[in-house]
Amino acid sequence: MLGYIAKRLLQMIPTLIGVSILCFIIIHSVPGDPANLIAGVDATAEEIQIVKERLGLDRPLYEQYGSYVMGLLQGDMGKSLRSDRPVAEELLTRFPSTIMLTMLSVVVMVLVGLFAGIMSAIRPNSMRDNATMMVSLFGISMPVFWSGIMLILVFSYYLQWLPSGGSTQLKHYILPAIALGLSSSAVLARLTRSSILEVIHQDFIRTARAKGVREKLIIYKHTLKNALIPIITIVGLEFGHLLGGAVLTETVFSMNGIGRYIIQSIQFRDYPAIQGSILFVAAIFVIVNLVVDLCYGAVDPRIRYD
Amino acid sequence: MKQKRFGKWAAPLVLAVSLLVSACGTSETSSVGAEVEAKDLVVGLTGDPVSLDPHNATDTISSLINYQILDTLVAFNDKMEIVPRLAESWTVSEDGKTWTFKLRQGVTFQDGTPFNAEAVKTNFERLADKSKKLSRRVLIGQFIDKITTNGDYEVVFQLNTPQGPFLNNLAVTASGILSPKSIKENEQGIAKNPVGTGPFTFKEWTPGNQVVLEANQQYWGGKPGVKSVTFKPVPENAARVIMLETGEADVIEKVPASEFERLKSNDEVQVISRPTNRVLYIGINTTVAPFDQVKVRQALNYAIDRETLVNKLYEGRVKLATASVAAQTFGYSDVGAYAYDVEKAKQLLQEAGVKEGTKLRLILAANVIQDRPAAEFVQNSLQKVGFDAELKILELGSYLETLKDPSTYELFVRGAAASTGDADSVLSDGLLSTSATNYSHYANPKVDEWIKAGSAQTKPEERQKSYAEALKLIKEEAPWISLHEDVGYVGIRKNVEGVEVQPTYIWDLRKVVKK
Repeated sequence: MLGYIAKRLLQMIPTLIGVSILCFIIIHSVPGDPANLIAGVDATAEEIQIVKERLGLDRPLYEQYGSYVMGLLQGDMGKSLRSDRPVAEELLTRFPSTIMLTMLSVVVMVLVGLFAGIMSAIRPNSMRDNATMMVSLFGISMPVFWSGIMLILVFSYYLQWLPSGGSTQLKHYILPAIALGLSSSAVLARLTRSSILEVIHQDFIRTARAKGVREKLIIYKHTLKNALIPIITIVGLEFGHLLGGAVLTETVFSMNGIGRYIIQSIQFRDYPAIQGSILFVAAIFVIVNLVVDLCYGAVDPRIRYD
Repeated sequence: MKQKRFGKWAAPLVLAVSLLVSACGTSETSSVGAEVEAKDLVVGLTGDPVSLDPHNATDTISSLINYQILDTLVAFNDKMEIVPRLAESWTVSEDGKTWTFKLRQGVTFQDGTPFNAEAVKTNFERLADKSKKLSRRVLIGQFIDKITTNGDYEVVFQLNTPQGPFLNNLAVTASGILSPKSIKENEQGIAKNPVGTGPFTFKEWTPGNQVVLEANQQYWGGKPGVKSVTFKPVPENAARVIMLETGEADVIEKVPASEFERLKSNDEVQVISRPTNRVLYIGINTTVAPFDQVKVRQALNYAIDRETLVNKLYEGRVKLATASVAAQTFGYSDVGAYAYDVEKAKQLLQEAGVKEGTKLRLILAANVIQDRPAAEFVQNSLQKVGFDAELKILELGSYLETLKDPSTYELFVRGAAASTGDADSVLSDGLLSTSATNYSHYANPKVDEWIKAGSAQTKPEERQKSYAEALKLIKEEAPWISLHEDVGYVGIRKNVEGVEVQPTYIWDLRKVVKK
């Protein structure tokens, strides 16, 4: 088991190197000059030149990448071109709110998605099933920025129960987590439904029913446990989706997280900041996938790690 | 049976969620109530500042925040005239190279050190030092030959060349006076903790979250009317407007036009509009045929119905531009807008031999949403006189890249903002033949001469005359299609008074009061 974890962590290194190279190529092939964007739209050529020299952007590209990688190997993610602060510091101040938002969204997603999925699966093709699936189709199709604005409109503007933006207190996270979690819960609900339906027609369930086992026990113990593998997979994948969704959610709810930071960095062609954030998010995603893989073993003892 | 069991699960769940929501609701209202008591002002901005080092920051948001922390030697009043601030009076020598300032006495910096001639000297020597690579050196620093002090309250600037816009350049935040102690002891730290003589003292900046300033009780101009000011970055327009309506923010910048009608029905907020000195124009790339011909450029100017643009499209909120610089700019003179005359436009195009269906590309930066209707209007008008006009909306970074290559565009939409309130900043930047940001690539030795004369003269009447000549020639030669003078919209809750919005988009919070 430990050996497996170590192996997986080592496999992270080539993945992240790949990500960094891809990211470097993509952001440098996008037109735009950070010195010009930082100096301002109305900056004179002299001002732009001063910024270029100060930031070392007048050096050839290979030299810039070389010094970036050298720094990275020593654990230095470089400094943001725009704010002149270390990228690591910028990310760490923003990381807590992003991870908090993602976690809470996962909670919303699992609570709502699992519940709705089970409800539908128990009575397939009933009114309740059809209604739930209709709503979840609506949920999948609804963009986060729209549902976010609608939630702000209802709960902040009309009812004035919750603040419309910010990221300093727990109450700031409720609306964004609902907006983000609900859209993913729809996916989860549909998957839960189909995977329960698959299991529920198997022989051992019929046997359990024939033995007179209580329906609640059949659903939660026998069916759900066997249907859980695809559900865990989708929760892991959705975690990545939620991290990505945080980009939009953070903008709509004015949250100070990594998602908004990435958008801002891309707008200003802040190369070290973009690379740092992408690497950071990629690393989290890889780790979450590892955790998901380990969960399989916990749910199904037949799965072993060698 | 089965259904009922699940119903039992659902009820507590709903109850729990609603309890959670209402619990948070009560705590929210109580904290808002407390804020009113303490009179803390919250300002919603479109973004985070970049750097709070005034001598290095180039973005408006950084300048807006710094304007509350720092004072300048001279300042603008609401008519954009120069008035004393840290300097009480000044004189200039006949050759325009020696400027002598008498300074205000009894002013102290927020760190307790006294403000005097030595402090001014330290600041401008920093700005003049080429090795420091400060972005705002071009404004004042590069013209400084040497600075001498004469006693504690007199400072003399010796310039290497006469500078017409010198006082205007001294009045912008980029010429703000920092505590010399902070420059000497922690120069790198200024960007995160500026210390000045202004009405508000810097308290904290959590990047992406907020910048907090506290009232400077010892401010020489009288202590401010609010206890603190918090600037919050809220890039989403709709979210920023809602913050204003719910009272989470007291003042917000850039209210989108689509929200005006709705906000009118709200008794607690108002949208105030202030003319800015930004002229929206369509620049014409004069290096490519047929736009290298004056006739064609004039034809484009005649083809636009500016009256409709201003009064219908923008519902009269903006003002017709009557020159390449805005009315609230030093050096402005009314040279008149081109009249709308399609027949004349067509005739001029025929004389120039321009064929029906000539292609042209008009580029626009996607981030300036308020300019988009104008760009579409121009595209439409040009199609009416026979051009095959394509509007390309580009993300800001690629827009600026495109401008660097004159073979990739024929027309571009751009705002000419006089950030120093002086015509020099617009004309030397956008129309001087040697300027790298002259994206029209317009070159006329006579225009160059007038622009340079205006910058080198120091007598206001002479400068005014030079710019009048330049503006007249520019209108005739038509490298630009000037459209309108932009308006800035600030959303304010009605219990807040005294926010002074300048035509340069900078706000003065020195007199702000929250009831």
